[in-house]
Amino acid sequence: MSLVVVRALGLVTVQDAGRAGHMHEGLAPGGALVRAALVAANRAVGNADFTPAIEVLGRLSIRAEAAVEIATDRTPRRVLERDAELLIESEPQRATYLAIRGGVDAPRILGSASTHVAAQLGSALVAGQRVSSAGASERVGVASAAANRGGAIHVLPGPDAYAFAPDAFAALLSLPYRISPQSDRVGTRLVGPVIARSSAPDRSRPTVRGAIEVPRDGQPIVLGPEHPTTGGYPIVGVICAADLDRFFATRIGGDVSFEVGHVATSRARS
Amino acid sequence: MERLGDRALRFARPHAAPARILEAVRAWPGVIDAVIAAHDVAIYFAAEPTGDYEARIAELAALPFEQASGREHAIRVVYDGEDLAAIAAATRLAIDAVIAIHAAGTYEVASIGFLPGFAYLDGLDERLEVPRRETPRTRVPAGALAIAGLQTAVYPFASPGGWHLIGRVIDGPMFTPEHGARLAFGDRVRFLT
Repeated sequence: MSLVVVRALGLVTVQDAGRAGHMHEGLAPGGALVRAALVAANRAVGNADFTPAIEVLGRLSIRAEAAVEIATDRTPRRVLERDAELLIESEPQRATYLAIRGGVDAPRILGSASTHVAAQLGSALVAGQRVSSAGASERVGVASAAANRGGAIHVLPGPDAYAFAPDAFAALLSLPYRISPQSDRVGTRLVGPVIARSSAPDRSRPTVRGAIEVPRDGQPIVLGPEHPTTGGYPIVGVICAADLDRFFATRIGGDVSFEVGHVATSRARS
Repeated sequence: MERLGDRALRFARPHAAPARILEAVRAWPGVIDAVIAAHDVAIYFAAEPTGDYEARIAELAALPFEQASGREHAIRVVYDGEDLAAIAAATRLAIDAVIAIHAAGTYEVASIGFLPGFAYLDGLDERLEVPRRETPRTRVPAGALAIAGLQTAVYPFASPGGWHLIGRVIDGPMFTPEHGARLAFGDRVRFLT
C-alpha cells in the first residue's frame, strides 16, 4: 500500500521516539514533537506506540494509490478510495500525526527512523514522494495532538539563577506567553513578559528538551526535540516531563501560562 | 549537583579525562545520555532520577587528572575562509602567518556539543585569539573551519554561527549516520594543507 504526497507545507517528517544515547556526540534524541499524539495515531491503526509515523507541522495532502481505511481520533472510520486525496492539517493544534498500519517504511539510522533536520538524518517529505507501509496494510490512522486545554504548564526553576535578575522566575510565571510563529523543532519562541538577565556572561552549558533559555532580549526559547546539546543562554526553568506534550501541542499563536512544578526532591538527594 | 528539570542532573566537570567521565556516567543506573561541556557534565534519565548520585559524582570528582588517550587525526583543509583578512587585521599578522600558525598547531577535543559532531578543540595559539563575531552569521556552510577565543572547530553541518571562518575541510564529513562523530573526546587533531 502506498500513499503519494501531493503537497507538503510547513515541515512534514517521519518521526518515532527518537534516538537516545548520542547526546555526547552533539546529537539530541529528536523524535516526535508531541509524543502522546504519535501514540494516539499508532493506536488508531493497531501499531505499537512508537512505530514510525508522519508528523505534520503545517499541512499535508496525500493521495491513495489504492483504497485505504482512515481511522482518526476525531471522526468515525471511513474509506479513502483509490486516487482520492486526504488533507491533514495540524491547525488548530500544532502537530498532527498520520500513522499507517505496519509503520511508515523509512530507513533506521542509529536505531530510529526519525528525521533529524539539523543533523541531516532523513529529510522532510516533498511532493511526489511515496509513503509506504513497512507491512501489508490498507489502514491509516490520523491523530491530532490533544489540545492544550488551558491548564498551566508546570516548570521547575532552572539551575542558572546567577545569570538572572532576582525576579526572573517570578516573571516567567506572571502572565501568559504567546507561541511565536518563529518556532520549529529546535526551539519554540515565546513572546511575553521580559525575563531580566543579570550581567553574567553567556556560558556554553548542557541543555535538555523543555529547557527555557533566555537570550539577552529577555524573550524565552523552549528547547524542542532537535535542540543543540549545549547552549550559551542561561536556563530560567525547565518544563516538567509530564507537561512537555501539552506545551508542544499548543498551537502557533496560542497562549501558555506557567506555574511552579514539584518533584520528589528528597529521592534524588537521598 | 543541580537539577536540569525532572529528567536530568548537572554537575561540575571532574578533572578526569572526558572519555573516562563518559564511560563512568553512562554505567550509572538509569542514565541514558550524557553531555560533557566545557565546565559541566549533564546526565539524562528516562524517568525521574532516584538514587545517590551525589556520592557517585563525588567519587568521580576525586579521580586524578590524566592525559587523555585518544586517536590522532590529520584532517585535510584549504585555508580560504572569509574572515582570514579580518583576523589578520585584528591580530596584526599577515594572512600567511595566521594560516601557518593555525596549521602548526596540535589540537585536542575538549568538549562536543552544539551540533552533531561539533568538537571544541583546545590548543589554539594565543596569537590567534579573537572573540566571537559581534553578529553571528545566519548560515555557516558545512565543513567550515573556524576559530574563536582559544579554540578552533569545524562546523559539521550548515548552521548559524559566530566563529571566524578561516577555511574548510576537504576530506570528508565530520558526522555520518554510520559512524557518528568523526572526533571523540581526547582525540588529537592536526590540520594539513
